[in-house]
Amino acid sequence: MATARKPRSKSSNRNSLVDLESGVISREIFVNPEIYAQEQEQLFARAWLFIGHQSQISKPGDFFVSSMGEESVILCRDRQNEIHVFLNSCTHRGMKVCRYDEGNTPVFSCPYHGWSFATDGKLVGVPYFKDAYKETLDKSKWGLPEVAQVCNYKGSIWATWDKHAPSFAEYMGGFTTYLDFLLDTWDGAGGETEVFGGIEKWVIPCNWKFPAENFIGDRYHNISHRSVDMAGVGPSGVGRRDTTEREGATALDISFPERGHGTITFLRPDDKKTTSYQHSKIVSEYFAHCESERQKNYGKWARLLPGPSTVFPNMSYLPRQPRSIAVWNPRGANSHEAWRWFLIDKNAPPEVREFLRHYYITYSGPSGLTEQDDMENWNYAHNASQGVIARRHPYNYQMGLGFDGPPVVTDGLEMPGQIRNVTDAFAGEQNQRGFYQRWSEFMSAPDWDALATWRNGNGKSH
Amino acid sequence: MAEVVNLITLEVGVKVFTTAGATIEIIENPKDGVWIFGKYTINPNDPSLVGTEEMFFAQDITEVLN
Amino acid sequence: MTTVETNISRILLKEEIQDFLFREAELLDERNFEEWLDLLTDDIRYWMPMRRNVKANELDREFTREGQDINWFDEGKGTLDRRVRQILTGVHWAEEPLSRICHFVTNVQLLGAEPSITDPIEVSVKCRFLIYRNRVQTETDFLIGKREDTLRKVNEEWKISQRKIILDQNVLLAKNLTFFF
Repeated sequence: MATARKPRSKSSNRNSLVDLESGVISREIFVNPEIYAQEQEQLFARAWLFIGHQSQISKPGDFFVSSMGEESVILCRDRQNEIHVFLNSCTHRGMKVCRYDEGNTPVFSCPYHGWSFATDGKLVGVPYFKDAYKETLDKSKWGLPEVAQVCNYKGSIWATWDKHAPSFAEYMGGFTTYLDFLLDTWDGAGGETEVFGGIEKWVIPCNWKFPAENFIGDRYHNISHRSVDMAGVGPSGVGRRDTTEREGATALDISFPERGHGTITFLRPDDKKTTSYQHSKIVSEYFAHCESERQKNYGKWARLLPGPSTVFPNMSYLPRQPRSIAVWNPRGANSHEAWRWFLIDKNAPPEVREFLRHYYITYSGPSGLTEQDDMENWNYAHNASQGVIARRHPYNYQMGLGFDGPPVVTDGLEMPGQIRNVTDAFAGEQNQRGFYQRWSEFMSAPDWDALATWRNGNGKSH
Repeated sequence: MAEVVNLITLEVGVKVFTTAGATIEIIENPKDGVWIFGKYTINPNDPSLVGTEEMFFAQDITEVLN
Repeated sequence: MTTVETNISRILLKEEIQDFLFREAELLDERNFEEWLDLLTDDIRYWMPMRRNVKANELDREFTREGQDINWFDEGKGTLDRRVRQILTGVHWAEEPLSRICHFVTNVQLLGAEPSITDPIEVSVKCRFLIYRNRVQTETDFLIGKREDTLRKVNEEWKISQRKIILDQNVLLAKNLTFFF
């Protein structure tokens, strides 16, 4: 879209909208429908997006209907066991070929005129092919539109519509060091992780970037959760949300500004043991066992306790507890649809499964004691940013800007990313600044040659 | 005119009659009510097709035979 | 007992149960959360599944499973009590200021009474609900669905021992569920 690169008006001039040297960002990028429309083209049509988990489609013919940006897509395992992601729209007249959320099928048949597509996306059924089309329709050209690239990374399925996008590994760079903690089993032994049945889907009336930047590293919003810390919803069943395993650890904000990803991570001393799970004998023994295995399997890397994180642009996750993945699907500038998957080690004992399931439900999502307050804040932050006067006043992202945190003593851990020690500062906004730096690049770059800044030495390579 | 056939109700092995006058045996049912997978058991127009498998459209199925 | 007497017992029991449900709604709408908690047995199961769009022949997969899957709610009294505590902190921003809530309870059907209609200690009852929530200024939600309750008599008082809440939505259209069904 032409306006994406040549702003027509002041309101869509992103150079002045995102001013990272001063640490201010215009409210326009959250509320302006024109900028929102450009995001769909510049960002969601080009970035790698999270689609689902392989355990949701374990058998041939299994499908799960997901969302990429605004659009409905079908994640499907074909009869040859290949994983595909298709646009959920008939190539004849656009009808959704699948209005089920999940299931198993040999074909996706359109209820409008009857075109039918196999699990590999090929058009296999055309009513009156002989009579009406005289067999001249080239079915091979009218399969379901398929993403340009799909990647199964440790069970997490990702896709991009852009054939020029770098591989998923290159898109992530060193960030997989941190993502792995989400996708590996709790003991780090490389076993299977699966998704609980039931994917939470709900509407949050605010721009999708509010939760994305919250998860990337907002340690500052603890006051949001004051009430839940009083009511008690910790993993031990009572007490505060933050677990004792973080005590004595160095608090790190880790940003990948050249890629847009970011994470909150805690680096604990070598000899620190976790003591968080005292729910029941079976549960605490399970986690104690996993923890000692984790130390063996990860070695010195077991010192890392990763926290809330965002993979640019709209996938956020919690790798410890409640172990889950969220996608913030844009639905207009003023709203988005949050989807959340909860993860569990496939071989976890029933007691552990039950303990975690209950903990997940009471912590996260619309019924979660913690997240309910986030949604209130995001809702009314957005709501109060829409007026013309409000839009004249940018948001402040200056926390920690121009200051270096104290040195990080890693004892030989070569942690990728731009690392800032915020143990004494309590919080910083480097990760959010990194997110919006990348957002600006996506919004102005003409193609992936310009976006892959790490290739030409302009960005930090990992 | 015969009753409209609801493909969803047809089990594998059931034989149906088509508008083209052929008889097909159902080999797989996607249960979407739109298509059925079958193989020809009788085809007066082209006997060479007997035994071959095809997808059949709901509107081409006129009658359930057994 | 004659049929007439049985019918009268049924009508009276239904009236009694309906009164109980209306009184419960009143407590919630008047924000008497602690009194509301007293209407729940200590072993209550409070379950609200999520709902999937599935094929007609796979309707057994429509609801997420109690005790196995992720549900909107699947909890006991301890968690419900914590929800109440959280609201009462005054710093639960999602309910501060408090929402204005109206529970409509209708289509009440008495499904069963054990051991008998005339001397019941446990009844199962189904109803429809409409919950209207309005908060801050213009924010408004309508949540409509079915409820299946089991009530048990404890010390001559009815208490709720099971509540299954069937919300007629797929994607939840409310941003959160900070209230009780």
